[in-house]
Amino acid sequence: MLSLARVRAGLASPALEAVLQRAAFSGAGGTDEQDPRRTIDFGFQHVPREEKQTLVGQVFASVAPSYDIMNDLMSGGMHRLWKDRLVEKLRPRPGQCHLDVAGGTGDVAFRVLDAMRTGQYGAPAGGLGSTVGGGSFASSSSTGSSSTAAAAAGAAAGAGAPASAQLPPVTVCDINAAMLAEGRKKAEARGAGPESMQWVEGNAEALPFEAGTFDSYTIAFGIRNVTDRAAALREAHRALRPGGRFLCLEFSKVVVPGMQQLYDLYSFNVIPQIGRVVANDAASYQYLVESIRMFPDQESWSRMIEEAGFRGVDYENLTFGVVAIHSGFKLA
Amino acid sequence: MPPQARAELLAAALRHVPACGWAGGAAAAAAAAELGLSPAAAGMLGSDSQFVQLFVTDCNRRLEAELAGMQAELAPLDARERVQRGLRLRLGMLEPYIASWPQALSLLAAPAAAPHTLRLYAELADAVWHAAGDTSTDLSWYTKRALITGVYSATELYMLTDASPGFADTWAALDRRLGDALQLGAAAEEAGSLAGAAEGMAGMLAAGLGSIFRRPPPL
Repeated sequence: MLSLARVRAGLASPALEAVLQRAAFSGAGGTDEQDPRRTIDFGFQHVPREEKQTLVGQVFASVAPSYDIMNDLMSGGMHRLWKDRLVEKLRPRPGQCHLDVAGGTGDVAFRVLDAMRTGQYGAPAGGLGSTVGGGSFASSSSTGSSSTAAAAAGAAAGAGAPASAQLPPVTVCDINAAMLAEGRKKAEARGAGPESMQWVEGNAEALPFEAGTFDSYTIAFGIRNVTDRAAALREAHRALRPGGRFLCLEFSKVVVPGMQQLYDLYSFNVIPQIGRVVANDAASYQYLVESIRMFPDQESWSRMIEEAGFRGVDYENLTFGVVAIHSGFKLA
Repeated sequence: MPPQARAELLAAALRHVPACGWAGGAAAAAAAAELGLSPAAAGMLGSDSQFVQLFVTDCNRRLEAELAGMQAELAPLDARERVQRGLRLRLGMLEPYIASWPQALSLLAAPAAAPHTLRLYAELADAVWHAAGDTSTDLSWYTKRALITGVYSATELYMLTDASPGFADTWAALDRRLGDALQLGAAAEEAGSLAGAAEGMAGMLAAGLGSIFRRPPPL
């Protein structure tokens, strides 16, 4: 347990490296691995449950400043498309109250906010979106009644959610202050003030929000790092209003034969090297790659989401299943 | 999805379609609010194209059920009349939404949605032929379904601009199209040529879909 002492005391990277090098020891005789209730995966290691949060915290404190550029380098820019697809699936409408968990640097939050501001998935007052072709036909005959219907919808939404009245459209919740600081910096640069976004330091396993507060909940590349994932799902369910949607963007299992080997080759050899060169922290990115392999596959994760009370759970594979978007609704 | 939750939302959303149209999720969001759900529940109905496809699927199910319940009524009729009854029943389901149906058609024909849309139209033709008592298992199975799909699409487009009371002109047009198709079908079978019929249908579909975007708005 010398290495764990170093984790508590030492700098992030050497500490992590120490933990990662523990493989030989814990693999040989660690009682940790034999009691799944007391340990949890941390990359390929098993660490005591109470340690994972600290270790993950160190990973992200260490990578926060270069987090966004690392995402671009590692995924070849693909993570932008994945996040775009996530928001496209969500179709955030103006007037909705959105919670992005583990979204420290605001990557998803800014996308959701932009979609709400431009009304690209439907304005609150005008029912008829301008789609290709015949959109204009119907509008000529029914604009008047459409605005009343939408107004009624808005009023009902307002009445149903008294708590959301004081909340800005987008709330970002992250356990890591260093990541939130990066996000706040970006928000300032974009001119997204407290009227449109709030940044909250909080744990996904115990969200600091009242029940039934939000219309939608996203967690992008975050749930993997949570110690008690079932608790995080229960909390997501609690924080959502009835009808609210849960969306999770996370690395998953490659479903195309042959791609898995290529992908492994890339992630175990290339990614830690990029991490070493760009972020000067190979250990953190070694953890990243390992934690991806330890995360449950599409079907198992769907079942866990269902067990937390979500209904209509389905998933969509992106890029051969390298990542998947899981979706579920809170119905009661 | 508990199927009834989605069905309930779909039914409520369809009530808002005449006012809100098919695009932008407005109808689904209004329906969610009506049912006391968050507007995010609109996501249960998927994208705009998927919303229209859910409606089409629902119509096909209703068509199958209604035709199954009409067997005694259909029995004395000949095949052409039975097909006509089936198609008329199906086209009648569009009546409440005819003002916004051009928009729906454009969503159905969107590149990402088109393959599934074609399957749904084939399903429709299948339901109609099945009710007409067709049990063919040879190549004519394909030509028959392709022809009915063509007749349905052509008449559907005619219906968009039909202002006659009770869509009387549409039903007359359906009769004419069906006559054409059966002639074409007979000729195709005689010549043993599947290609001709398929081409004919493809042309009709292409002309039909193309004309969505050119048609002037209904008065």
